Amino acid sequence: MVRTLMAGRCALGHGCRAKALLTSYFVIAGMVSMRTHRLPRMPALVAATALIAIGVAFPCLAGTLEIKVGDERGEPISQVAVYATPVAVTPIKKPSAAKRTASMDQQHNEFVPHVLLISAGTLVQFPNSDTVSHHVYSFSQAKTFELALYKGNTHPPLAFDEPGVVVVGCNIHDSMLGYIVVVPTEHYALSDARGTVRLEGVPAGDYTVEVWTPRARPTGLPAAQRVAVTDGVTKLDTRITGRLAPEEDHKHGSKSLSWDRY
Amino acid sequence: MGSLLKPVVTVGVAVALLSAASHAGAEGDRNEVFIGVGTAYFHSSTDLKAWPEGGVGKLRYADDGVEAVRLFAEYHGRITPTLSARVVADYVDDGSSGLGIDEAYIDWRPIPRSANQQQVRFGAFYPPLSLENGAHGWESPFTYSYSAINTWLGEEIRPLGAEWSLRRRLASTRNTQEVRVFASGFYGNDPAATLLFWRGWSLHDRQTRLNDKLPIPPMPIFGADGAVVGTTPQTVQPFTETDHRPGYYVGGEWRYAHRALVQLARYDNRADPWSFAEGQWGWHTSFEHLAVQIALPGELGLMAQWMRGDTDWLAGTSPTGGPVEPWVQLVEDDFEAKYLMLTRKWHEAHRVSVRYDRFSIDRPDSVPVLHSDGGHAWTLSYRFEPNERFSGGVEWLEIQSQRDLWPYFYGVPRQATEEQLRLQFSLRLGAPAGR
Repeated sequence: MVRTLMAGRCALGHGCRAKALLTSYFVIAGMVSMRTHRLPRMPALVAATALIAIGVAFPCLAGTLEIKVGDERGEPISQVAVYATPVAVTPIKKPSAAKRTASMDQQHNEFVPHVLLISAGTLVQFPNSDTVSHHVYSFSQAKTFELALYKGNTHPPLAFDEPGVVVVGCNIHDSMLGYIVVVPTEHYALSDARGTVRLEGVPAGDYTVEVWTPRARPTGLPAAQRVAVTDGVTKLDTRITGRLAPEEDHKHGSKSLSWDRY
Repeated sequence: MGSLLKPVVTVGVAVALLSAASHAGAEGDRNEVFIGVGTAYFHSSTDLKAWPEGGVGKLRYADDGVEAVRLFAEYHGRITPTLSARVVADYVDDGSSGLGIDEAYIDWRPIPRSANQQQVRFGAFYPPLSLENGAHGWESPFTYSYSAINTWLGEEIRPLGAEWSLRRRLASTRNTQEVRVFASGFYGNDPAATLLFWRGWSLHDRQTRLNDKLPIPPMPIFGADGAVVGTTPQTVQPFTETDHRPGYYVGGEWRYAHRALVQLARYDNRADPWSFAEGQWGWHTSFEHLAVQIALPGELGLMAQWMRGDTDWLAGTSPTGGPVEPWVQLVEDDFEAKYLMLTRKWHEAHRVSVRYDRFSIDRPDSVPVLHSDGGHAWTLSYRFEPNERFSGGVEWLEIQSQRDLWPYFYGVPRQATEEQLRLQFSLRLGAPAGR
C-alpha cells in the first residue's frame, strides 16, 4: 500500500485527483518529520481522514470485476476473451504510454496462443519457431496484413490499432489458424479453466462487458452486458448459447490423424 | 537383392545429401530440402514371385533380407513468396531401379483477400485423394505398406497437367467448417490400370517414378485350341500419353475442425482403348472415390477410403502394338477397393495402426463372372518416433487373395496367402512432421 502510494499512484489502482492529494500529504508529512525528526502522526491522521473524505466526494474507487463464462447448462468455458469497456470514457484507440507488446508464436504448425487478446495499439510479434517457413496473413477488416515467407523472427512487429477480431492464417499450411482479439479497453482477460475472469483495479463506473470465442456461433454470443463497478467485487454471469465448436488445436482429439495434405 | 551393401551405400548417399540439405537450409527461406531414407528387414512367407520382378505376387519383396527401401529428397524452391517449385526424387533398388522423379510441379498460392483461398498446381503431381500419404515424399506416417487404393494411386496415377482448387471457410471467424473443391485437366496416365489388371491389387510402398518402366506379369500366348502355349514379357509405363485426349478429375471436400473430413472425387483418364503409342496401349480408366476421416473419442483416429471404377481395354492385342487381330476384343473390368484403418498415437512418439483392406477386380460381362482378383488384407503396424530425425517400426502384413486366371495363365494355385514381417529403420533430415 505504502509502496503504491510512494509510487505516486492512486491507492485504488488508477490515476485520479487523489494522486495529487497524496503527494501533498507526503510533502506535508515530510516537512513535519524534517522539523520534528519523528514520524508524523497527527498530520498523517488528519491527512488520511481528509483523504478518505475526499475519496468519497470524488469517485475514485476501483473494484474487481469477476465474470463467469458458461454454456447453456452453466458448464464453464475456458479461453474466452472477456473485456469490460467503460461507458462514459471514450474507448481507447491507442494507449498513451509506451506501446504494449505481445507475441503470437508458430510452433509445430500451430499459432501459439490460439487466441491472443490485446488492447488496441498493441504491437504484435509473429516469431516462427518451426523449422519450416510460414507465410502469415490476414484478410480481416480490423487488420489486413501479410508477412511473406519466413523463419525465425525476421519481421518487425505489427501494430493492431483497430478493435475487432483478426483471423490469422498461414498460406503454406492450411490448417494453421489463430485469432487476435483487439479490444478498446485496458480491462480484459481470457477465461481460465473454471470459466472465470477476474479483472482487478477496474475504476468504479459503468461498463459494458463483452465476450468472444471462435468456438461460439456469432448468434450464440451474449449481447454486451452493462454493469456498474463499485468498490469491492462485482460479479457477473454470462452465458454463451448454442452448440460450441470443438477446440481447434491439435491437442484435442485429433493428433492421431493427419490434417495437412495437398 | 538383400545384400547388406545396399543399405550401407544408401546411408552414404544420404549423408552426402544431408550436407547438401543443410547447406540449402542455410541459404535462407527460399529453399527447403527434405531427405528421407528407409532400410528394412523383411521376412516373407509366399510362394509367388514378387511383382517388381514380373511375378504375380502382391509383395514388393518376396525374399528374406535387408533392403534399402527408398531414399528420397523433396525440394521446395521459392520463386516468389506465393510461387514455389516442388520436386520429389528418389532412389529405389527394385524393379526398374535407380534414380527417378516422383513429382515435379509449380505451386501457386495467392494470398487470400477473402475467405476463399485458391491454389493452382502445374506439372506432374498426385491428385489429393490419399488420406494416408500426407508426409514428405508422399509417404505415410501410419503404416509402411500403403492401403490397396493408395498403393495403386502411387503405381499408376500421376496426372501431368494443371489442378485448380478453392478452399473456403464457411464463416470467416469460425473455422469449424470448410469446403474445398478441386478440378484438374491432365495428359498422360493413359495405360493406367494395366498393372492393376495383370497383377491385381497390391499393398506396398513403391511409388512409380515418371520415367519408370515396370515389369508386369507376362501376357499368355494362346494356341489354336485356346490353351496357353507360352508367355510374352510385358512392361508398363503408366504415365504415357497414347491418344492426346486430356483426362480429368474433380472432387469436393468438407471438413469439420480437426474432427471430420469427407471427400468425394471422380477421375477419368478418357483414354482411347484403340490408341497405341510408345509401346503402350490406352486403357480407358475411371473411378469414383470416397474418403472419410474422423477423430473418435479417446484420441483414436478412423480413416476409410473406398474406390470403385472400371477400365475398358483391348484384350488380345500385341504388346508391340502390332495389327489389331480379329480375336482382339474390347473388354471391361470393374475394380473396387476399400479399407478401414484405426490409428492412435501415444505420447507423441508411439503409434499403433491397424488396417483392413478389401479389393476385387471382376469382369461382369463374362459368363460366369471372371474374378481376376479378389481378397483382403490385414496390416498391423507399430511405429516409434522419438524425434523428427529417427524412427523405427514393425509391421505385419497378411494378404489373402484368389485369381481365377492364375491356374489358367501361369499354372499357380488359384488362392494365395502372402505374409510379411517388416522391421524398418528410417532417417529423416530437414523434415519436421507433416508438410
